[in-house]
Amino acid sequence: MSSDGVLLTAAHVTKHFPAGKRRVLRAVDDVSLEIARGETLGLVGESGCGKTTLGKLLCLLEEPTRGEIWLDGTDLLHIPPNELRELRPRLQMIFQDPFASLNPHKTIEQIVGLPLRIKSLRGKARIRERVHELLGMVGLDPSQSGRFPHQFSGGQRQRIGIARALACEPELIIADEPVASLDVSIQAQILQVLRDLQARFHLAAIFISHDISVVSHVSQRIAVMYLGRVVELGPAQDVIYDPKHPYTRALLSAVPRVGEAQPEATLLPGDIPSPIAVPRGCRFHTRCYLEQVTECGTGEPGLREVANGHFAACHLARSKAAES
Amino acid sequence: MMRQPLLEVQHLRTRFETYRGTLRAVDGVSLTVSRGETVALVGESGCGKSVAALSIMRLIRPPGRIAGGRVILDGRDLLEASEVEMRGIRGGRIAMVFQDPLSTLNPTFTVESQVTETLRVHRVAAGAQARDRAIELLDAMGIPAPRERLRSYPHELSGGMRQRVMIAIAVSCQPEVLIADEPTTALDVTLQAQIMDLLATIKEERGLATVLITHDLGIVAQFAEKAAVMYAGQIVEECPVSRLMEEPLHPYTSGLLRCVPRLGRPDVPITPIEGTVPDLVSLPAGCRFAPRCPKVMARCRQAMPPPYEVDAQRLVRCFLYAGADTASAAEEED
Ligand SMILES: Nc1ncnc2c1ncn2[C@@H]1O[C@H](COP(=O)(O)OP(=O)(O)O)[C@@H](O)[C@H]1O
Ligand SMILES: Nc1ncnc2c1ncn2[C@@H]1O[C@H](COP(=O)(O)OP(=O)(O)O)[C@@H](O)[C@H]1O
Ligand code: SF4
Ligand SMILES: [Mg+2]
Ligand SMILES: [Mg+2]
Repeated sequence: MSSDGVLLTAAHVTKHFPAGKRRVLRAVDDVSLEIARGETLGLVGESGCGKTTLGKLLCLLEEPTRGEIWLDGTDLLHIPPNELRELRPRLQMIFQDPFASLNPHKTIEQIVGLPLRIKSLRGKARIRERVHELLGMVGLDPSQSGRFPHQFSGGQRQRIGIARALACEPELIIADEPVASLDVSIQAQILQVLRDLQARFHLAAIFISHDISVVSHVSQRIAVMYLGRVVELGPAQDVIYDPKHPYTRALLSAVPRVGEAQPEATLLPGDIPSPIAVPRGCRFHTRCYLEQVTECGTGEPGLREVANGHFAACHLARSKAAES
Repeated sequence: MMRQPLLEVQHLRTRFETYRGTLRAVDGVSLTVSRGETVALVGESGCGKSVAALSIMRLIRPPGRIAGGRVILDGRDLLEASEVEMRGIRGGRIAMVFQDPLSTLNPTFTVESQVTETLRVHRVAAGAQARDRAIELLDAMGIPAPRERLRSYPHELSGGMRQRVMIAIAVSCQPEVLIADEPTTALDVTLQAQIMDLLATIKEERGLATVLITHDLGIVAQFAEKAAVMYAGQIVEECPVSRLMEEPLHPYTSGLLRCVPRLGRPDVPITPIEGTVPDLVSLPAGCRFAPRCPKVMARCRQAMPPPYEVDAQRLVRCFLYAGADTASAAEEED
């Protein structure tokens, strides 16, 4: 992690949803991680593995069943509401479908200006000036600020969502699949906007995506999720080139490569189990292709450091490290 | 090696009448596919890939219509065929797999009735024989416990299993051509790997001519021999996949490749293509890519470039290659 110091810490964060008949859906299960100032942490995994829920938990849009979230030394779950209101704008979420999160009856100027008014920026003229500045930063024409969300394309709406988040002057942006519904040429535009803004404002970001290629481009570190858990976490290049968890290896081998040789695909058998019936022991063991040890079916492996700053939750990855 | 083309699409044009005017969804598309060959039709959303596929199957409904061209299957122009003949060809000689099996499978019928129905309609098998055949097919598609699965309804299956059932139905009548329209776009990457592996095996075993429609250049790189890149209703570049990846010629193709994030290669920068795709109702005069093209010249804004035959294997619809054309006259345009 960068020497900049920790901005946000999540400790044992868990979210269980009730799923009828005294059963629970384990959307996020005991996740601990840290984000440094200015750092981008990529969060990758297949649909339903808990990425969005974890993003919302870290952004305080969802209340954890268990666990702690600390921002800059403050325990966010145990402070008075008025203090929390002060801190909240420092964490901003950007969603996959900006359309769903933009009020269709408000103009872009009103949408982007709202957080400014809350921040008690005074005077219509000053707010307008700031809105135009923000729109310029995300590559939108300020003269279009009187228009409504439906008058913009998908890529432009994502820019609006980013401008609105920026209006709060956040320190951490949680971007949940911000380019998933965009064509690759528009995706490239949005990635460029995000990259430029992050560099300019030294923003920390959690970049959530099902696409590990995109994640590998924008992140310094990558966390891989499977069935509600982080199963691997480490420096981006180490996770990509020297994955320690068998799930990460399968995920990487499944990505169709452009402009380089395709590694032999490791096809995982079957489907991802239901988060209502998480397998006992290692939650990956029902699909694991390694020669398993007894513990795989009995004990849940914790995240262990298997190389410098590189963690994996696999009994075998641990024993390998112990050997050397 | 020259293979005899099995499916030959020539100058296909499909339009939709809209309140805003005529929408040219497919505008002069030509494509050939041989037995055992996979040709990828690749492009961003709205460029006309699905409409091209539906046109080949003659499934365009009003206000759309096929305005011109030919779709030749083994010497027969399907655009001249009767509707009765087409019903035999669809699902019989040409089969299709779609992105979303839930919208194609009937939610109120079991897997068994949907597989056996296809077999019955195309007079492949009926009764107990059809049922046995269905079990065999599901098994061949890697569906566990196929006998039990016959009783399932589509919504009871996972996304990957539904796609396997769709593929089972598609190949049930031994088609010669398979059109797969974004078959894995709705699936996660590890499931995508399973399904693409299955499609590759089927193609290999049966020598199918496959049109693989996708927006994903990684899928193109790994699963197709030839690629046709579409932009705003036209094919702008067509050539063997390896050459396309190594040396794209059309400015749109090279731009598209520069947009793709390479896994674990942050040193290969992502460079966006500025602007957005044109409105297919009010297309720019001249080259359709001109408003976004970094290499645009004066003539590009005046006339539409024809597909230039840069060499025996490659067509490029761009004036930069006018001098390189090996054919004496480019294809006629309307
Ligand atoms: N509000 C909710 N109530 C019940 N279950 C939920 C809720 N939100 C998410 N889930 C479930 O939690 C799991 C994780 O979902 P999600 O965080 O959206 O995953 P991802 O973003 O990785 O696709 C899924 O099984 C999902 O159905
Ligand atoms: N039934 C229809 N009526 C009007 N326009 C249509 C219809 N179907 C497709 N189109 C238009 O035709 C163009 C090409 O669409 P499509 O072939 O679905 O694109 P792709 O599959 O490449 O994403 C788009 O502009 C789309 O809006
Ligand atoms: S702990 Fe065992 S089952 Fe789990 S991933 Fe590692 S080897 Fe596979
Ligand atoms: Mg999500
Ligand atoms: Mg389509």
